[in-house]
Amino acid sequence: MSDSPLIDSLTAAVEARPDDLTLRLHLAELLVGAGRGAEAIGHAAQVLAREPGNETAQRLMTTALGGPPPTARTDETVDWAAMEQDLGDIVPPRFAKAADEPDPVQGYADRTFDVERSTITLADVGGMQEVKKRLEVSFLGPLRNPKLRTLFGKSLRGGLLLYGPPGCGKTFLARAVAGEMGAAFISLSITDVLNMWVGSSERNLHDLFQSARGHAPCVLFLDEIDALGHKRSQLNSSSMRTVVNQLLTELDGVDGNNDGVFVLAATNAPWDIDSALRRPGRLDRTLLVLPPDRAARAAILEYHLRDRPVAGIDLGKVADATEHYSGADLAHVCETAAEFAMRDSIATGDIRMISQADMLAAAREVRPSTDAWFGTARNVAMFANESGEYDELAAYLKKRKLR
Amino acid sequence: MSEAYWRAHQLAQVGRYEDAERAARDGLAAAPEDGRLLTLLASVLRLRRDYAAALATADRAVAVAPQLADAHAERAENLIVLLRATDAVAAAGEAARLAPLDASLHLVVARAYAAAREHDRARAAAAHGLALDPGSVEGLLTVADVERQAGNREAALAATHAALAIAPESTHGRWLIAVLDAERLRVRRSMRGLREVARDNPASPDLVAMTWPIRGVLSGLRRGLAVGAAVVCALLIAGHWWSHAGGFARIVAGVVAAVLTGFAVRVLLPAGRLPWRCLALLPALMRRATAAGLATVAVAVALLVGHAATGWGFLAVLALALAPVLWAYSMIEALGFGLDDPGARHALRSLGDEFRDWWVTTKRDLRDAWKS
Repeated sequence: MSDSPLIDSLTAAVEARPDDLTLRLHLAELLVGAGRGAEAIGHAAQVLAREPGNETAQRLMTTALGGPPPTARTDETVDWAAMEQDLGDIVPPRFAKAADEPDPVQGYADRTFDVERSTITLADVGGMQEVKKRLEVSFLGPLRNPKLRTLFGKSLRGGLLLYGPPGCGKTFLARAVAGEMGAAFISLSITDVLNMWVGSSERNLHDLFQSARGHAPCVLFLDEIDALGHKRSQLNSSSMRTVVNQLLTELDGVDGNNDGVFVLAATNAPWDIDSALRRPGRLDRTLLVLPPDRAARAAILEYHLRDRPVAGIDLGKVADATEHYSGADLAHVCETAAEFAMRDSIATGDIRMISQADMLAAAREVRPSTDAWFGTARNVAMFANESGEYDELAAYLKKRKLR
Repeated sequence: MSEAYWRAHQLAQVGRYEDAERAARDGLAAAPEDGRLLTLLASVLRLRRDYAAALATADRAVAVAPQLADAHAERAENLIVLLRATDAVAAAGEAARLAPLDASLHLVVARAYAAAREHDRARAAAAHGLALDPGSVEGLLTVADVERQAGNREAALAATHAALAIAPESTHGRWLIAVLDAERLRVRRSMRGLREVARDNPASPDLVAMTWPIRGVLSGLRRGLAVGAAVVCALLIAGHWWSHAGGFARIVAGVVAAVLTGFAVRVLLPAGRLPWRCLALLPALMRRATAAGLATVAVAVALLVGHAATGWGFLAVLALALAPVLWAYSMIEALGFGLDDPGARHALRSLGDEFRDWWVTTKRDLRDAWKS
């Protein structure tokens, strides 16, 4: 803030409309007049970058750099300082801010990130009682009970890693956790971060974390963390390694306080994550999100059939026929059943509803997409479970007789 | 370097091949003649094991940028995995001609020659590549691979150790050490090495390599049984003219059975349970052929023991009769392995197509000749 309200308001106006060269020139002229040549140089330079032949800008640049002011026009020069003195209080700024418009800011806040307010809660997640219970015990419970937390000396540091086959609702669960906490929700994946210019990916990551800190309490959801935090030993390029280093720094909150930022991460390939990310204080709690159970499958099927013409569908039986199917597979089953009914209606000319037979036929046609994942998971449980980190997965595989 | 190229490259590096492919295709939509991007797309498709599409993309990269050495090298890599070694040698040679100072291209040439089983040329190319970049881990490991395929285990071991001295975490280097240990029958050490490699890369463990004790025993017994049973049968025939031959045949049968059993115990006991657990995870045809081979070899050894104990000649003849059955199983096992590999599968399909074309042409020619 300077001692000149006119310059201040013009500066704000230029920041709001950086491409308005006339305004910029006006500001530069005022700055030169106020003896603040150093500040004027940048504005004059920007005008000259766009219009190299602009004589006023050239003159202002010369003056600002300490050169002799053109004498021929000395008489024509407006005494801005005097004018400002006279009119400062009565001339309103050229561009007024709306009442609720925030001040122009620098850094993370001038970047556009999708900060959401999640309206879904765990109650909206059908079935999956075991997962919800574990989320409640390991994550939400300590958050909701600060006194108990203090009593047991439990820190809020550290995040939660959700892993499991694709399409099984990890992102939905993360949103539900945010909704449950009444916190803001920011989701980020590698594509939000990657930028080819040196240091830009790291800056993007930093800005995202800063944005989360600025919107605390906030759930920061790191989707496909295996890409963003890939094992550094398997990376050839130094640029990706520095991104992983930056992620570690941000998780530690070295550059900023992570109070109120709850990090949730999701991955289909936890075995590809750099081990440093899973150390205490970072993503130190893990939760296996398996394909939906029977109740969840019925709920998902009902959801996908809600706007479709159905008749006599026994959701329980369809749920029984779709064991090990992911949420995405179940959506596909509903889609396929609708296609069967539509095809039949077109062929016969007699429009009919989607029936139980369509659903069961669709369930036979659509194969669960989780099989490939469990094939890999079986290898992981066999070879990489020496520390017991995949015990839960191993137990499930044993139950399914996949081991 | 375009942003699309950079992005696709980074995504491929962190194993997001699908996203990398999408990024590359998005870039190509804006610049369809970008040879570097096409080369990268080909390499991503190869990593996704879609070899036919990868080769087609590499061909396109070569067509739009014939002076781009990397495009020729990528084409060579695809031809290697598609078992077209001769074409691969030509493509890799062209790449090395275009950029003679690029060490990695000479290593591709070495791999292509190795695939064509021209070991001396492969060694020369690998040595040339390594000379251009002496500290290259890839170079040292290529030398090791080539030497191993040429049967020079000591040289392979030395090159692998040199590579591991630079990059101790190298998966391929550690795998090579384990495999070289296996070839020298250091069973326990080899299995430990393979297990460690699998632990660090659990999503893609080399299950076939981890079953080497079983397959190695089977291979050894197959050969030993064929020779042993043949000698026993020969002695039985000689018994018509020489009265002691029958006794010798029984002794030889007993010794062969003992040696074969001892060899199996020597390898399988230190290997532990791991090979058996991995056997259950092999491709179905391969697994069944191996299991059937094991059962057959056990029966054959029992027959030899039976002959040694009773002197009944037909038992030895039956054991000898099982030898071709074992060879048939070994071929089925190799077929099972090949069918599991997309490159080999594609090569088999191409061979089938070629045969069909040949047959159609031949049939037509024969018909024309008959009519005239």
